[in-house]
Amino acid sequence: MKNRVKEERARLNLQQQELAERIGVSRQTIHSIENNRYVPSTVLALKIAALFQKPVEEIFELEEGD
Amino acid sequence: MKTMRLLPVTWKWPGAILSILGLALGFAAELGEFSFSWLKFIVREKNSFLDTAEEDFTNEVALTLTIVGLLILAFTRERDEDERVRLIRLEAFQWSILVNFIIVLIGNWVLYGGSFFWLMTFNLFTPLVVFLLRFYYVLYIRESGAGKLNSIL
Repeated sequence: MKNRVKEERARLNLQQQELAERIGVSRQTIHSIENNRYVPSTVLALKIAALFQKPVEEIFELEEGD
Repeated sequence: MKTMRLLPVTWKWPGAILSILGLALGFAAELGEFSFSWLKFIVREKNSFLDTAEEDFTNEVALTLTIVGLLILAFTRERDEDERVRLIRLEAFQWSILVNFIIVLIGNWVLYGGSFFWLMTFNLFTPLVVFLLRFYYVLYIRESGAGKLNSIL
């Protein structure tokens, strides 16, 4: 699965730590999501999308092999 | 998905201290033949079938301290416990069960007598130790966000 969390975060001028605090997770989790080392739960993905004010499919995309 | 509730993060140090005390007492009791004399009790008086049974409960106390301390450490939440940490925690438990039983299986065939006894004695608490080692290794070294290094580790 690929995601555009990093781009959206940059668009809002947020640091990883700030995004993490707003979502309620640790900075390492945001870092892991952005580096495709961790797939967030549905609830977390929806929270991220809500914060970026975009539909969830615009931020997270299925890949071949998922 | 909800997982088991964990103890507050402040329990970490008490857990660590208990485990260390328990392990130290255990080694002293088994290797150093140390014991608390006031822990020796008559468990059974002599009767028509059997002699008096006297038991030194120092090693029971040591094992209790060790297991309770390690359980506290294993079931205490991290400061930043979120869904990713819970997943790492779950996988570490799986891994530790597997690794611990593999060690027992191998030991079963290559260790005999006294050495096998020591393996079994350690096995009373090594699943928890292996879990802690694996959990903290994955959490702080492999998944620490250091970039490309993680893929190798």
